[in-house]
Amino acid sequence: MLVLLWLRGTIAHRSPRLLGVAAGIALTVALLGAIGAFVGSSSASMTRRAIAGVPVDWQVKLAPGVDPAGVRAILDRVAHPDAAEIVGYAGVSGLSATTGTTVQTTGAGRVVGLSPQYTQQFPGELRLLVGSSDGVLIAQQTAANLHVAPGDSVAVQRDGLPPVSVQVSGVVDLPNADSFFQSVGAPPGSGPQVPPDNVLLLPLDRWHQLFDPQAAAHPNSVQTQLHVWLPHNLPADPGAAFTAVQQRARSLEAALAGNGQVGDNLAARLSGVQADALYAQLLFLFLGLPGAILGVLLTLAVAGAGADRRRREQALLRTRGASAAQALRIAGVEATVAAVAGVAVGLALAVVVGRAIAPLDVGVTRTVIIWRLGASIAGLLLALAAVLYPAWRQTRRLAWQTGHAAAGRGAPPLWQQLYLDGILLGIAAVIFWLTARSGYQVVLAPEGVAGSSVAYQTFLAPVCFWFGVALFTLRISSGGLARGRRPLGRLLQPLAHGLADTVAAFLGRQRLLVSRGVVLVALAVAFAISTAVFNTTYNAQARVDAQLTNGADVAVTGSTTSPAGARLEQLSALPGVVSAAPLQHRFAYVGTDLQDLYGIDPLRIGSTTPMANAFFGNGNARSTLAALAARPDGVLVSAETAKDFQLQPGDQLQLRLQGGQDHQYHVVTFHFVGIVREFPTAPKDSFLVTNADYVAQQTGIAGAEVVLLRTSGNPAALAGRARVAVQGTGSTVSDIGAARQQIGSSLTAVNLQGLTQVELAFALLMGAGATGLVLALGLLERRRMFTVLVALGAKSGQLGAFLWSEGLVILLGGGVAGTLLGFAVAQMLVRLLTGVFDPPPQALSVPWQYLLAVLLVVAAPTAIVVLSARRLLSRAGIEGLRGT
Amino acid sequence: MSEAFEPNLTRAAAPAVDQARADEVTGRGNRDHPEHLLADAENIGRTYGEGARRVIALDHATCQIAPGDRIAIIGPSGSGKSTLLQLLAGLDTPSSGVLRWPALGPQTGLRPAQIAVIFQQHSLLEPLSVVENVALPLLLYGVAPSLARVRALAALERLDLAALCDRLPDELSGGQAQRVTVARALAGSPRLILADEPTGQLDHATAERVITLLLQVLSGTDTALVVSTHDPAVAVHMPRRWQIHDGILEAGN
Repeated sequence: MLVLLWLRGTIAHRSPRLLGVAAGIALTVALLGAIGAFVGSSSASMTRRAIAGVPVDWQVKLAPGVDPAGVRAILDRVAHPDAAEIVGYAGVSGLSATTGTTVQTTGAGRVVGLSPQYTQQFPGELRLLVGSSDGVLIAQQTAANLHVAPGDSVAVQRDGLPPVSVQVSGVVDLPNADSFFQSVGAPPGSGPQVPPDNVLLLPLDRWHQLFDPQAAAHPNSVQTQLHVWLPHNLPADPGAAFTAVQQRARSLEAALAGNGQVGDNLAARLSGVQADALYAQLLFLFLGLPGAILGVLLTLAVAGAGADRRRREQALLRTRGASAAQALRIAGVEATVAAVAGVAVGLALAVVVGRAIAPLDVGVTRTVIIWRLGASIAGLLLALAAVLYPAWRQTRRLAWQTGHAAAGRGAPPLWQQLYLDGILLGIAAVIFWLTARSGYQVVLAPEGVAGSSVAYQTFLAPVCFWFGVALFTLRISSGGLARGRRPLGRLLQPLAHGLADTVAAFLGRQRLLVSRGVVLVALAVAFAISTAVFNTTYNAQARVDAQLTNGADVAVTGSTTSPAGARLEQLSALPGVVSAAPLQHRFAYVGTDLQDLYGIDPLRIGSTTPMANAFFGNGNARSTLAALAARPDGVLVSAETAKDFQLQPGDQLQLRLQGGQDHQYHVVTFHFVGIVREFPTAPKDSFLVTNADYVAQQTGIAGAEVVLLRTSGNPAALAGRARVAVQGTGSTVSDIGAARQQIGSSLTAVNLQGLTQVELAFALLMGAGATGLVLALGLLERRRMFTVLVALGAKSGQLGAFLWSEGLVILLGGGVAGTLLGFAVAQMLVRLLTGVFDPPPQALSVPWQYLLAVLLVVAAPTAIVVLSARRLLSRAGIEGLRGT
Repeated sequence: MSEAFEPNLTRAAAPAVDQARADEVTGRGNRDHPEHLLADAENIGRTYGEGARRVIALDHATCQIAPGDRIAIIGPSGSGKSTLLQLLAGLDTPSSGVLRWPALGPQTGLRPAQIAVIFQQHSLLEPLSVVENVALPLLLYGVAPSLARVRALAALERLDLAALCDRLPDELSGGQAQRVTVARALAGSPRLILADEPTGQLDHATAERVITLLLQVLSGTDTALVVSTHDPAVAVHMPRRWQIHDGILEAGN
C-alpha cells in the first residue's frame, strides 16, 4: 500500500525525474538494439555475398566404380540441387609440347574433363584469357611452361598408356584452383593441398575416351566428382547457415552409404564468414559501445541530479517509520517502472530504427534476438544502478559522510590512487605497438585455408585507450580545477571581472561536478568525432577499394580485336563524364610466367582513377608515374617479380608480347623503373604496368581494350549511358556499385551508412544531452546556491559570470579532450583495420560539415541553458531558498 | 506602539535596551524626519495566488524603520514575518500599499550595499571558503577583490572568526556558520540589517550567543537591525518588538 502510494506520488509530482531516467534507459536500449539489428542484417548480407562468391557449393567425390547417375539420383532426392555436373579428374605423368625445334616437358599434372555446360553452370571456376572456350583448354601457367598458345598441340603422358596429342583452343585462368583441385575427404588437419602446376581441361566426352582406359588400369589415378550448386535458401545468420549446410552434406553422405564424400566448399566459406561476421560485430560494437556507455553515464547523471532530493525524501520516510526494507522496496518499484518504460520504448525505437538502417530485411534472426535481450538486460541493470543502488547505499550510510566529498576535500578515488588511467593507457600502447609490429594483421587468413581467425585482443587497445583517456580527462580536469585556480581566474577575468578569482574558487571546489560534465562532453564529442571520421574514412576507402576492382567509377571493357578505346571520344562526351582514360590490358611473358600487362598514359590516368601512394613500392604515386612517363620503355613490375629477377632501377627486362601481325609472342625490351603493388582492375598477384604508346608501337596493336570513366554524378546512371554508347561492339560496362557487391564478404563490402547515420544522430542527441541536460540538472541541483547569490545582490551579469564560466569550462574542456580522443580513436581503428582496407587509407577523411554540426549542437544547449538559468534564477527571488 | 510581550520575557538574563533612552543618547531614530527613515511602509499587503487559492500573507501593514532601530518582529510560523522582511529588503514587491526607503534613495529592488539580509536557513555558498563567502557581497557591488578580502577579514575578526577564514561551510558548526552569515551581513557596513529567524536552527545557548554578538558589534553604530523570531529569548534583547499574527502587524511606530 505504502509502495503504491509512493509510486502514485512520484508519478504525479516527480515525473520529470522518472521520465529522465526512463528516457536515458530508452536511449541506451535503442542504441544497442539498433546496433543489434544492423549486426544481424549485415551478417545476413555477408552470408549472402559469401554464398554468392562460392564457385561450386559441393564437390561430391565418387568412390571408384560408382555410377554417377545413381549418385545424381540420390543427390536430387536428398539435397534438391539447382545444378550438378560430372567432372573427371585424371592424374598424368606429364605434358609436353614442341615449339620450333625445342620440346618442353612438364612434371606430373592433372587432366580435367568438363561437360559442355559446365562453364555456364559454374562460371566462377574458369576465366578465358586467350582463344576459344570450346575445345581443349590449358591453364595459364601450364601454357607458359610449355610455351604454347591456342592452335598449338600438347602431348598428354597417360599412366601406363601411350601418349595422346590434343590441340589447344584456349588459355584459361583457374581463379579457384585451390578448391577445384582440393583433396575431398582428406582427414581434418592434413593441411591445404597445393593445386597442380600443370592442368589441361578437355570436353568430358574426349576425357572419357582418353581416360576410361586409364581408370580401368589404374583406378586410383582417376576420379569422378559431381560439382553441385545448391538452392541458397539458407538462414541469414552465418553460423546457422553453416550448420544447415553441414547437416545437408552429412545427410547426403549418409544416403550415399560410402559411395561418395562431400567436399563442402559452401560450409568452408560460411565458416570463414562466421569469423568475418564476428569481426564485424566487434567493430560495430566498438563503434556503438561508447555511445551506449555514454547513454548509461547520462542516465546516471540524470538520476544523480535528483539524488539529494531523493535522499531527503528517503530520510523523511525513515523518520516516519518506514523500515529500510520498505524504503528499498519503494526504490525498487520506482526502478522497475523506469526500467519497464525505458526498455519498452527503447525496444520499439530499436525496431523502427533497425528497419530503417538495416542493409537487408532479414526479420528477427538469432543475432537480433540476442542483441535485443542483451539491450533489455542492460536497461534493467541501468535502472537498478540509477535508482535502487543509491537508495541501498543511503540505507547503509550516514548523512555526515557525504559532506567533505561534496566540498571537494575528500581523498581522491581509488582509481586515481592506483593510477588506473595510466595503466589502461599503458596497456593500450603496448597492444597497439604489438599489433603495429605484426603489420596490423588483425584478421589472419592463411593462403589455401578457407577459414580465418581474428586477433580479437587487438581491439583491447582502443577499448583501454577510451577508458584510459576518459579517466585521465577526469583526473586532469579535476586536478586542474583544484590546483589551477589562479590561471583559471586569469582566464575568466574578461568574463567575470572582479569576481574572476571567486568564480575560479567556486568551480575549483565543485570540481567533481564540473569534471563529470567535462568527461561527459568529452565522451559525447569523441563518440561523434570518432564515428564520423571512421565512417568517412571507411566509405572513402570502400570507394577506393571498389575503384581498384572496377578500375574507375565506370569501366568499359572490350577486347584486343574490338577495343573499347575505339569509342573513347564518344564515351568522353557522355553527360556526367569528368574525365576518361584508355587502358590497355594485354598479357606478357616474364620468363615462363604469363602476367597481365597494363598500358597507360602515366600523366593522364590519375585524373580518371585515383593513384594512391600505397599502389607503388616507393610509396609515392606522383614520382613513380613521372619516372614511367620519362622513360617510354619503362615498366613497373610486382615486388615478387623484382625479387625473382633481382631487378634494380634501369635494368633491362625482356618480355614476350603477342604481335598484331602474326599473333605470336615476340620479345620486347623494357627497362625496370619501379615496383607496383596495386593497380585498377589488376589481379592480386603479379602484373606489369607500362606506357601504352610503347606497347602499341612494339606490338602493332594500337587500341586500348578498356576505357575508364570518372563521373561527378551517379556511376550507375553513367554506366547505363555507356552501355547504350557501346551497344553492339561486344564491350561490357561495369560501375563501382556493382564492383562493391562483388568484393566479397570482407568488411569494407559492408555498407555502414545506416548504422553510422543512427550513431551520428545518437551522438548529436547525446552531445546535446551531455552539455545542455547535464548542465541544466547540475544548475537545478544547486539552484539554492544561485538563489543565495541573487539574494546577496548578484546582478544578472554577475550571475551570468558564474553560469557562463561553468558552462564554458565544461564545454571547452570537454570539447578539446573529446576532439583529441575522437581523432585518436578513429586513427587507432583505421590503423588496426589496415589489413582489412585494400589498400590502406593514406590519411583520415574528416567530415567537416558534420563536425561543425557537432560543435553547434554541443554549444547551443550550453548557451540556451545558461541564458534560461540566468533569467529564471534572477526572477526566483527568496522563494528559491524555501523551495529547496 | 503596542509593546505586547509575554511577562517571562522580562526574566531573560540579557540586558534589555531602552530604545527611547538610546535615541535620546545617540540622537538617532528620529521619526519626526521622514526623509531619514530607512524604510517607510504604509498599508502594504502581499497576497499569493488567486481565487479560492488566494492567500493573504501580509495585510495592510504600516511600519517605519529609522537609523539605529533594534526591532524584533515576533510571531508564530506562517504569520507573515518573512514576507514582511522580504518586502523591506526589496526581494519582493508589495501587492498593495506604499513602501519607500527615503534615506536610501529612490531605487527599487535589492540594495545589497545598504540592506543586508541574514537568512533563516543555511545560506553560505558551500564551494566558497568562509572569507570568500564574507567577501562575496562586497565583490558583487563592485569593491576591488583585494579590498573586499581585507574588509571580510576585518568583519570576521570582529566576530572572532578569523581563525576559521579558510574553512569551508561544511566544516563549520551551526553556530559558527550563522556567525559567518552575520559577518557577511556586517562586512558591507549596511545601514539596515534584516535578519529572518537568524537563530531558528540553533540551540538556545548558541542562539543567545549569536544575537548578543550581533548587538555588540552593532552597538555604537546607526545601522538598524530588524530580527524576525518566534523565540522570546531572542526578542527580549530588542528594545522594540512588533507582533505579527495571520499577516496583521501590530507594531508600526
